[in-house]
Amino acid sequence: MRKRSLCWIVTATVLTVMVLVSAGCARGAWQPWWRKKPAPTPTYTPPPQRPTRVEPVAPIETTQLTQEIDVREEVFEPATDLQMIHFEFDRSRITEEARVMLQENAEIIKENPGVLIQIEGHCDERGTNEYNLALGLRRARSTRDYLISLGVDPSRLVTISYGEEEPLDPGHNEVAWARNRRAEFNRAQ
Amino acid sequence: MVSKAVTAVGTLLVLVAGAWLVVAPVRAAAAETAGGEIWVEIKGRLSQRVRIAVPDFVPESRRAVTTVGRYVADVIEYDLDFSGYFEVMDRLQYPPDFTVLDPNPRRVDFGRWSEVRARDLVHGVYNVRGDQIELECRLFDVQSGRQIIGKGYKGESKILRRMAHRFADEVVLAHTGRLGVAHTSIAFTSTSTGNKEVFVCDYDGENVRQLTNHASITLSPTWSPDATKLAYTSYAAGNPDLYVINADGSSPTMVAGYHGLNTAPDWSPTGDTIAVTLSKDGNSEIYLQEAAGRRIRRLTYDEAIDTSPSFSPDGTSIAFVSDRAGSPQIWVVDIDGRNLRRISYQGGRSFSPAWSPLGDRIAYVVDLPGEGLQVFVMDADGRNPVQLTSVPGWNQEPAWSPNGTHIAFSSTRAGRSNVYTMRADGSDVRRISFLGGENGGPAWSR
Repeated sequence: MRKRSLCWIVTATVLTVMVLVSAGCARGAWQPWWRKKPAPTPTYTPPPQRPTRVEPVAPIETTQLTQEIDVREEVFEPATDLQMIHFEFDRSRITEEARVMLQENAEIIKENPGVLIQIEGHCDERGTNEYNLALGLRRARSTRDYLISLGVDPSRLVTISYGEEEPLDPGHNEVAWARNRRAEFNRAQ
Repeated sequence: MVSKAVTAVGTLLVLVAGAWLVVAPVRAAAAETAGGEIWVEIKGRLSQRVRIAVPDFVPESRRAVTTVGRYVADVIEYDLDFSGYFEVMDRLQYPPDFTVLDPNPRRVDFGRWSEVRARDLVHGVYNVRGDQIELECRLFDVQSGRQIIGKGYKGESKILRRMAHRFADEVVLAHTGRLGVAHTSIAFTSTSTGNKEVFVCDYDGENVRQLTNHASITLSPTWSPDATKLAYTSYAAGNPDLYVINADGSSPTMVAGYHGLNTAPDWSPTGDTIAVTLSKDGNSEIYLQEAAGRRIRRLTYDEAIDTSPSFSPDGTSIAFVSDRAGSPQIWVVDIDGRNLRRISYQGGRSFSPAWSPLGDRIAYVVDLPGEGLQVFVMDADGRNPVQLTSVPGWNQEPAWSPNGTHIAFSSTRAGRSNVYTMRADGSDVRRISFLGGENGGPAWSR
């Protein structure tokens, strides 16, 4: 009697072990624990952003995708009757003050159809020259988009960026920087 | 009795087996790591530098030493000191009765040099024939008296400085396994003529020459990897267009003239591609253009600003500036467009990435309100940002030396913008531009 129950216990144990082992094999990962490879080093995940001072985060300001005509052969002169507009730091959006000026500019531009207008985008000296070339372009195109929304013919407006290369004010202070963040207008001869 | 002994032996066996099972993987793990590579970086601390003497070169024919001998030695001394690996001995530290080298290298008394703790000695001989100069340069290990390297140079006397630079680079190569940078050049922009043009000078600021003459706005030079050409942007034709010019200033050629931006070029280390920012498809994006042709492939697809590309040294990845997350930060992407990820996270608008030629780190610039722009360096995956410059002002546009030991950059610390070099740990800052106007945008050749 005892022998038989002992036999059953042994068989049950062996069967259980076999089931456990094969389950491990089915997962394809079974190895004796002393031969297991170390876990792969976790790839770097950046720390959660908790800046000590609030970083001004500007929303992405998109510009319309209307194509400009190529104007390499044109000679442009400053359009003294069109007002210069200014921008906030690191932004290309048209401010409320700028809207008013651009509305007035739009009327003047529409009065002389067929004349090509070039919009220059400029930046202050903060940031690298390369980044500011791109920001200046964004400001010029943002200005162009707004004028188009006021009914100016897109084929009359072209843009160019000068980044921080042509400051109005060579100073290194907030006043100079505010003057330099601008869009200027030229007219083709 | 027997069964008790069997039980005891059995238990002992089980314990031994168990102990082995525990110990074996530990030993195995140790063996795995022991085979790995160990890379030692010479930090240049004084106790680790090689103490070297560079006495004036002597004429072959035992005539009196002329200024040529001192000139060559001075150039080599400067180059070795710049490298950061050497403690260049002052003449006052030479053996007390030393006057001049014997032109015969076999007659060097290494014992005397050993007494003043020189580890290396440069023995140089020169020979002037009309407007030709010959140099015979040897590097000796003082302890053993063994010659480590011997080099001969011959050429017009006007390239004497270049010969001295070449030998200094060989000395650096002998000690570090990497050629020194004394033979390299730095291109940069300057408004000294009234217009912004590209200039080139030796790595130490000597031999400045004007490269471009577009009388417009010309900027962002980048060298081809074989240093025979440069690419740059110029408004010469009324738009910021991409040009390539030979390193001697000949044949400037427009290679990309799309409407809008053709800016911020970076020449791939493989030589066949130039990364460039174009805005022809609506806003600034990064494209890859064939260096030898005109075909382009677009790399970024985002309405944000994407600019300032910098290739990894194996040419398979590009670091660049994008403000797609709300402010300008450093991003990296493989050149097939995959694995786009942001790597700058310490806050602050970040610009101007420059990937080290060693591949492990990226220099870049951070806008720290109140302090201006400062040069930082971080691991290529964005970890461990370290600030390298701290003088208030605009410290920007980092460019690595080809051996990864130094960084050129522009700084307004002296008022106007000028070009400086520093070691990759931020030490040993040296100004190398002295033209009028604003000087910046350095690019370091091979």
